[in-house]
Amino acid sequence: MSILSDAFLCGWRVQSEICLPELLPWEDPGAAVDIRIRLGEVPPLQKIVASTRRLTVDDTGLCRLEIPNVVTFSVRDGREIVIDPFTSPDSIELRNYLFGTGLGLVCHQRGVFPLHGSCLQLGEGAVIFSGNSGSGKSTLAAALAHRGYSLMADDVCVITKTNRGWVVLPAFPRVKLLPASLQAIFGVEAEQAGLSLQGKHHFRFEPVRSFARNPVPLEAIYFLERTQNEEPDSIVDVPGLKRLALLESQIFRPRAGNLLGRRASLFRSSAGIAATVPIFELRRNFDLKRIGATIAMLEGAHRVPASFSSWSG
Amino acid sequence: MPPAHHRIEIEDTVAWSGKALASQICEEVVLMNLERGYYYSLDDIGSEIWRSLEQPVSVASLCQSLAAKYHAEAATVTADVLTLLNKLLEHELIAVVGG
Repeated sequence: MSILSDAFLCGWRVQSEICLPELLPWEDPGAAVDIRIRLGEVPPLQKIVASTRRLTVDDTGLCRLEIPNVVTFSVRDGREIVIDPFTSPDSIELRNYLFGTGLGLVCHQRGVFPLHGSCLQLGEGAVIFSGNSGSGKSTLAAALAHRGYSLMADDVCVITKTNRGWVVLPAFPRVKLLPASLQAIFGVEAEQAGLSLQGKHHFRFEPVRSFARNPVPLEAIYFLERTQNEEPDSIVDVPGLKRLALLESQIFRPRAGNLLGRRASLFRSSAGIAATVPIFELRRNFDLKRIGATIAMLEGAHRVPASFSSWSG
Repeated sequence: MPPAHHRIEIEDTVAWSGKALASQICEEVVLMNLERGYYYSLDDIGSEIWRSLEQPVSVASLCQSLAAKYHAEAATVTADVLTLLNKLLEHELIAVVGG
């Protein structure tokens, strides 16, 4: 068995027995390990206090997630993950659940706020694109990353409060894309470019060229709304209560958070973010050919370094 | 425990029901009913009334102090306060604790 180097995830040092090629290597050898991932058996929990279809939680807060035909894993204290793969420990679908629900559980156990969305650094601040599945978050993130902006997260944005206010912790430098988006953004047929698509949903963790490891103050959250026909793209301010309701609706794995006793704390975080971070609705057409117009509008709304105005990408 | 259709009157004492989460967004108090998952927001005077209900308070003394503070007619204040309190009660955000 090869010795794997530790990895970076949201500023946490991750020591893993399975290969996590999507994560950046850890750099500081003196730092303590924050999350250990090992292979092992994950038997059903004994003293179950709460459960959903796939998730069970015991009286110590240990979570067990069972994804049929892919993996069963447990997460304890936001620090220990035990993985029991159905077949290969190297399957992309297994990592998809690990970086999705697994990361969500880690966040709820660690008491940080996971918001469903993609995040990039635009100018000095972190900007999150949130919204329902299929609203185009990852595609917009990929297009912005392709233009050179630093990606911070895709799918799960980890937010925490510091003495500088609310900040986003950068996760890992990949966007999860489907073939249509790959083609529109990178101008290639996925198969032609040798971009092998994996998993039963045919997605790919596409690398991005720019990623920074430091937490960045959260500057704005956009909730994506698809428009019809010829309605031009627009940015619309969201009033107070709707801000809260939108944030609450996009908490990542909210039921897991509730089962872990985080309901009140998540509400306080949502309200705290809603009170201090500008929140907008980004109304845009879903036509991928028009994504350039959306990007131009966002660049107008955020302070973007001059170098980007001459970017030809 | 009063029946669900109980209407709050001036002689009642009311307080938070414990079923709501509350927080503040700018000037507004926002509430969520934990059991129903509904969200509510209160304007500035509504927010002030909400904050005063953390501990049981008699509706009469609440109306009195609001009328004095805002130099408003007692009857008007009482009517407005009862309307708000009954809405909060209907959504189980507050409860009658004594009469």
